Amino acid sequence: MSSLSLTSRWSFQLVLIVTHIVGLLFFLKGFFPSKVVLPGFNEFSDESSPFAANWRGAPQFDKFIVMVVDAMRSDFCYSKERSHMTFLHGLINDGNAIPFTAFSNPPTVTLPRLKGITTGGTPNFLDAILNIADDNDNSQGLFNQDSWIHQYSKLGKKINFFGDDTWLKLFPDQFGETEGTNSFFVSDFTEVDNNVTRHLDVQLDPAKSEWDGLILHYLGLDHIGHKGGPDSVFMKSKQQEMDTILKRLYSYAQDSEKTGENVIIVLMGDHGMNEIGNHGASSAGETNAALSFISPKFSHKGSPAAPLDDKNDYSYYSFVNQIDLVPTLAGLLNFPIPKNSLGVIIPEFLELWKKDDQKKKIVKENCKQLMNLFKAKHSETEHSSIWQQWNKLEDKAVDSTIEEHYKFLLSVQELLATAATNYNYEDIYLGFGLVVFSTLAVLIVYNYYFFTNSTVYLGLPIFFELFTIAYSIHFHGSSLIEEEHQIWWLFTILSCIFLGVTYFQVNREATLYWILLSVGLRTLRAWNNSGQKYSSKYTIASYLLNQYPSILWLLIVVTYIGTAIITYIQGGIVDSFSLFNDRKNGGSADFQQAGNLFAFMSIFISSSISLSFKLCQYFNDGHKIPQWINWLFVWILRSYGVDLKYSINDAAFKFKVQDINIQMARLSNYAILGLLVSRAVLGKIRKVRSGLITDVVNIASLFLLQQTKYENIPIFLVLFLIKFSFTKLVISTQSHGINIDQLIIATTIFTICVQNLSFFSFGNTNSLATVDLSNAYNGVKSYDVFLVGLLTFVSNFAAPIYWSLSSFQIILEPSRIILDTSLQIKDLVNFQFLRKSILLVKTMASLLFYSISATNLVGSCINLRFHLFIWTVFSPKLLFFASWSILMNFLVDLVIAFVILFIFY
Amino acid sequence: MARGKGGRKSVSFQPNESAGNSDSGEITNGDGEHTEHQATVSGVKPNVPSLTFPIIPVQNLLIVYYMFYSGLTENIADTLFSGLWTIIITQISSGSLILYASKKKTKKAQDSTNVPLLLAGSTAIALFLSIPLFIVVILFGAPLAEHLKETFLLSVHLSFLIFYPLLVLFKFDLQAFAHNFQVDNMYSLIFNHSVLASSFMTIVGTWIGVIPIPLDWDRPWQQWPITLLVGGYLGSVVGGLVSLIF
Repeated sequence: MSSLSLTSRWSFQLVLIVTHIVGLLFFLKGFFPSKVVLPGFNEFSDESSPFAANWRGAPQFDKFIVMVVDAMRSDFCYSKERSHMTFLHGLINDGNAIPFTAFSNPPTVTLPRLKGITTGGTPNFLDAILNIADDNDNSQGLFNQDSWIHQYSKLGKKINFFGDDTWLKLFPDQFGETEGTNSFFVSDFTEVDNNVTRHLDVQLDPAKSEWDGLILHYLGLDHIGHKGGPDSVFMKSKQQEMDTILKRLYSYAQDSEKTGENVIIVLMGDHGMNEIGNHGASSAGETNAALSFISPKFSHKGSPAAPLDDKNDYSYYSFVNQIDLVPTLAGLLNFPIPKNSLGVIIPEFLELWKKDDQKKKIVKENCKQLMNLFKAKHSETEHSSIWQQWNKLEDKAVDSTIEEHYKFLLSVQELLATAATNYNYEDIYLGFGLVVFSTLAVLIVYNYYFFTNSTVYLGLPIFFELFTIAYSIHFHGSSLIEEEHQIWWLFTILSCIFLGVTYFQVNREATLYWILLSVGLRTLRAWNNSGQKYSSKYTIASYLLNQYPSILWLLIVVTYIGTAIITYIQGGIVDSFSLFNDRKNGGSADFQQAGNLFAFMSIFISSSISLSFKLCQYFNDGHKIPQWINWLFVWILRSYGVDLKYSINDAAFKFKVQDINIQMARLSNYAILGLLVSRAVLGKIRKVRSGLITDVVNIASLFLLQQTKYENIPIFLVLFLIKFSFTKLVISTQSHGINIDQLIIATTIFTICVQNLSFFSFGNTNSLATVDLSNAYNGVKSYDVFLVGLLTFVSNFAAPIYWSLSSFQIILEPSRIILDTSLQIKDLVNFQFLRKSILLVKTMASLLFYSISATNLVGSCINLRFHLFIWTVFSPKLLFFASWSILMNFLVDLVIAFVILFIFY
Repeated sequence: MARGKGGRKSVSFQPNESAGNSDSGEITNGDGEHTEHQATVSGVKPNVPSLTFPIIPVQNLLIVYYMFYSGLTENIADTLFSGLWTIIITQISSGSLILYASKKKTKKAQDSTNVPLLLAGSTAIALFLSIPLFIVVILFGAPLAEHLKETFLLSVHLSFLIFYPLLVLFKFDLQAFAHNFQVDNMYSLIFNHSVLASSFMTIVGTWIGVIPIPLDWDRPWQQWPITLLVGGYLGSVVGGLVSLIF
């Protein structure tokens, strides 16, 4: 019995939650600060340019074409097995193209990479988040930062740009003619590139167009990677398309040469992709992008004949840093090296300048520029070896060689690239303080509650605390974070055993449910790869997707039917839809049946539309629809007046299917939303309260199915099974009455375990590379931050959301799950006064989990802030944790639960 | 808790949505009734054949060492298989030791016990039990698509470490064995008896043994299922030693 009233306990609880979240946000703000950059624009260190090609000061090249192919990994250009770019191979073999593998600094996402490619700086981790989250604001513009775009425009040259509109956000008003395409609409492979290529007719016609620089950014290859991985069926044709474009550009360059204009073409990827086609992290596939300099002027001999044999580490030809592009372009086009560039002029190009004297001057210019940057960041007392080398190079008496200059350049580059961050310690410690405060407070509240108020068996709450502490220790080890799914497997089994020993009854009747539960959990684990160390080909998802698509679709159809049946029979939909049926007076059988029919029709229609959408999406992503269900797809197309054509490469057809896809997704969303709203409203009007939580869970599952990758949809069958067996076990403890606190803690332990276990079993990891964007655009025609963000969250956290909602069902309406109407009267949901305190205890327990974890994670990040893995392992984990804590724990566990329990009811 | 009080406090399961306010809800929530413990309050006597001297399977350390020596990290399946003969033979001899240690107490059984049959039968049953154990190991997370052979051999090893001594000790008397699960202080019973403690700690040791696998040390002994095997073997010795302290 509490001495405090429920209201004051609730307010205290809310204060703690807010403190926790505010603390976390402050920490993030201090931990990911904006980078300090040198303001202003660079000028040559001497009056005259060291880069001039002749005594008149003319540049080596008069025009440039930069062709960025998003996610163009090195092997797509150079490898025998993966590359289909035959024209490029020919150029390499003729010496007209100089090929490189370029290291792109993580995070390997487009926006930070573009900043790197243009300014030559190393990216800020925050750029990676802004790339996904903050598309509407223009604050990331680079108009105050030096870049080769700026330097080149300053010479009075005109640059035209076509492609990914991220460039336009970075450089508003700096281009001549432009057209932007959106990089977020990943299911479109063809239109997005045709929108770029169609400009070439005008741009490559000297009579119609005048420019000095042309930038093209193609997104199709990246989209193919996201959807189908590097071995997608579309990859070959896309590479050939890119090759054809290169051929057009090259013939333009040849024509220009005849009129005395030298054109340099740069073909490059902004980053690569990993084995499954995603990017963002720092694996070899993601960081090794292709980079080729192409011009008829080159006659570079000595490159091995392209294509080369396939290599596992993706390193083909010489290895350079992607940011080396910046000083190299400065040299070739004759403008000062941008101020914040960490790049080093690529040595192969020095050959273009004939005199040794000038070569040295060029390298010297690079040294001076880098040293200015170095001086701004480090005092003379730090890194004495760099200063020594520099003084030696500056010494006129010593005749330093070009090699010595390069050695110096590379060591400065490495030093500056690794130590590019400044933390904002005030925010960090303020955030940490708030997080620790809320943790201590919630620990006190939690222990006080259970040790004084309750008749609960203390083993459970103590186990939960120990469990949380043991879990949170893993934040101090980078490989434990990478392999977190293993921890959750261990903890889930451990918790089940603990609950079995202390809470559940172990008897013969329960054995069946124990077996079902463990089979369910084991199946969950086998469904996908997770973690970053091992990846196995033998997962259920890959079997279904690659080898047995027919069975996959059978299971998907079964899952949809199952969800529809459960929705129909478990909750109170039929009751609330039986409009004219007065239950008290017996009612007329006809009206009763009308209600049944109405409920059945609405559920059937929503789930059918949702299933049809998934089928359409499956086709749209380049899979072949299994024969036995093809009739449905043909029927969908017919109903939109489109005939099925079997070539997915038919652009017009594909565009139509895409359009249908969007319409279907919208229709389905409206149907599901309509079902939910009519259940809530009709239920309210007709006072059908019982079964409401169950209905929300079931209707929400329908939406979650739609937001899930098709190979993961059947997992929901497993989740149903696990929930069913767990509830059976819970019910079996309640034959003599319910100890509510015990029930809440047991359910919370189980929910947290199974939430995380299923999160990782859906193929997620703690790396940004596995964030699934393939369902983030369902029904979205043009990019919308809020909508796409919401859909991304739902599609990645589908299972945790399912379990969060289900936990209330397990506590409040267990009889609905196990379909035992005789127990319905005992459901806690019938006791309205209990709801507030149940939600309070549950919120308290989950805040205990999240706040102890936050304390350890934040502490670990502060402790390891200079660690090698801070940007590759800990920072992504921080972002994931922030999503768990703010979006899952606060938004779903608390706000949505509040809406269901107190507003819908 | 008094029964009457409990009955009153127990949620009276009537759908009475209008009744009660938040404060009375507080009472029910904080002081919910609690009866399931009443059923188990009864003095169940343990039924475990006691030993005249503790049996600590120290030889298991040697077996692990021997398996590493004969190339466990290079050739897992073959070494596990050849190590199987060693563990079976040592378990049979330690089984006869168990029989010898428990002889004096159970005079009746002494006459009727056919020692060779008991030892041989236990071997057969332990071999058979490795199949359900294999399924349990898989359910608890062992890889399913790969390493099946190794996992199975692991479960045979574990079956001999866990079940064999129990089979010999209880002389196939399943009821006597199951009876002990209802004893109130089950854990003190386990840790007071060297054979029970050894079997129990083998399970715990195997469990703990899984932890090093995902760490990024990339050592050959981190391969599946070496750490589990070592954990189980060490656990059996630790269990015996712990029983000395209790």
